[in-house]
Amino acid sequence: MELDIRELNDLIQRESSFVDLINMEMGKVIVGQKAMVERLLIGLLTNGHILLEGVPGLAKTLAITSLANAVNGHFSRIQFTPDLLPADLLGTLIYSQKKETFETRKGPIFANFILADEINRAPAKVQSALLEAMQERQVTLGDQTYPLPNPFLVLATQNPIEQEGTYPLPEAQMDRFMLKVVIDYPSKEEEKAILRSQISGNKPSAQKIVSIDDIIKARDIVKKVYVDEKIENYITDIVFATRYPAKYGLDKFTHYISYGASPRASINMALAAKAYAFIKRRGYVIPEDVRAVCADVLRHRIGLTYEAEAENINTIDIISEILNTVEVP
Amino acid sequence: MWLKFKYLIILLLAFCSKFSFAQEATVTAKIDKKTFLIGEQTLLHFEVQQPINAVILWPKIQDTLSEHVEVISFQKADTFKLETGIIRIDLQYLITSFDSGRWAIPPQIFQFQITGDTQKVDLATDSLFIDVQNVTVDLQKEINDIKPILDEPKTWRDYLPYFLWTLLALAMAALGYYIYKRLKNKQPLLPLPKKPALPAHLLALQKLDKLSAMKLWQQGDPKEFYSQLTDILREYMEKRFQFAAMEMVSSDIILHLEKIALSKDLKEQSAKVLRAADYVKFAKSQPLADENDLAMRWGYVFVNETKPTEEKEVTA
Repeated sequence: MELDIRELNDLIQRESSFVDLINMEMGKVIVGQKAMVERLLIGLLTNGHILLEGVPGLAKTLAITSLANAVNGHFSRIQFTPDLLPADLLGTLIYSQKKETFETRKGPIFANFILADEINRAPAKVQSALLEAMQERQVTLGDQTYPLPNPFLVLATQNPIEQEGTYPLPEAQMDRFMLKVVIDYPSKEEEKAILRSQISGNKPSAQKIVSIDDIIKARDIVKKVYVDEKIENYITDIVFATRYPAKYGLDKFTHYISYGASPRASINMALAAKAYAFIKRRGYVIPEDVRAVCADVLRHRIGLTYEAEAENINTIDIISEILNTVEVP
Repeated sequence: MWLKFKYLIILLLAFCSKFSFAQEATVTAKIDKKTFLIGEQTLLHFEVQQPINAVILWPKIQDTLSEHVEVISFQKADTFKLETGIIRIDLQYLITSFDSGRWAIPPQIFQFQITGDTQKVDLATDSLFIDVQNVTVDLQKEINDIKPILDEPKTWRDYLPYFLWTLLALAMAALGYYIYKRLKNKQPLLPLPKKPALPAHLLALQKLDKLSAMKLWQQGDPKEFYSQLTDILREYMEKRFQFAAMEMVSSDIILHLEKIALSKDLKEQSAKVLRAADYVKFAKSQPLADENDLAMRWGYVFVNETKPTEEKEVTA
């Protein structure tokens, strides 16, 4: 078994070189935001969708566009607006007078990378159509079902301000996003670097350096990354602590959590930790990997009570406390 | 002829003895009020006078004296000794009637028997009459509601049972809560005096000795060996350096150790062993015997080099 993991380590060393290339290409376009780029790669490697949240101007859209460019995939950007219809997203049947038949017009969802910009601005029926496609990875138009291309990665954005006239995603649909990444402002040094690159007039763009096949191959390797039973126990302990905090000595959170993370959280945490281990060139998962992805996996899967909101306690406070309480194997 | 005369004498003597007993024993009955309102109560007195050596059998009075006269209660008999060798017994019954009319209290039969004699003598009281009258209602007057029951003024004695029951309930609740907490925390019901805790380094050394004796890696279980070794050391670090090492990943522990005044060699060795332990615990690595031995020795060295000196303990 040791040999297997060593072989896997060697394989990962060989096959993960594109991670550096993607990082380099994206680094040309985006200053800082390394955690965001890492999370995008995790989504890409695990076939998981990602929700990016941050105030406008933090390069959310640019990051996704650059990733799509670097991977040489088909990219669609859909700006979600209140008047958007499911057909605008999925496609529809159009009657051709010339052929006297209905022809299928596929929507922008038929792409490898979908940027669902400001997803919370579209009404529930459009969000629902997108999230159903995300789950099923296929779209039915008329009586025909069309599979979505592989890889199919939805990267949705929403901003936490300007909440008027928005349609917040229901909890059940939020759960379909593997990670929710909250993007913060860049540091002072990063801000200076952004300023310099933008006023120089020389705007670099990411080059196509990785093929879709490379990604699919990498996904197969990620699946082989070894997760020990101790790590599985650690993950389930963390998830159970969100459901039954009192059992982990976190009685104070009992009244703050209305519902804990779902089993989908455990699955996604294990998958994300495997992808993270791959990015770090390891063929096995260690507790550091779990901790690295834990906040992004859980933050949108824990329901807070009014008491928590009244006391200004957010999910990150709860996750941090859980990580500081659950024993590391 | 003589025989007939003898029988006559015996009969005459028997009659005389009965007559003489009746002269000594009397029973009388009297009533306090002969006329009263329906439902009103009155006392019926029985007075018995009898020789000391006589036994009396009282009439069996239950709930009623007659169809219309009811007995509410009776008082314990009162006995007086008269000078003439006669005793007087007084008995009172509280009676009432809920039917209007003139009702008779029938004669009550008392049986007497002289001690040592088999003969019984019956004596009866006189009949008594009571007039039970209805309440006269003036129909010309306004009809009023029934007046509510008047409350008696409350005293502290009235509240005492409530207070005691409340006190008992609170005590029971407190006891129940105490037992629940003790059981929940898996503690004995009665707090036992705790043994003084061993210093962290002594505890760690004891556990290391135990781990060494178990020979886990020698038996082909390096994963369990490294798990226990790192747990012992993390527990020690937590107690010795006051940071939550049990809840930290190896990289965080290594960062923490960097901030502690340890020799560079020990820091490097600690980082090396912790990373190797991760590799064994999470990647099924099978380290060489030398590496396992080195890890075990690191455990002892780490504890011995970081344990507080006696001087430090005194100042602490």
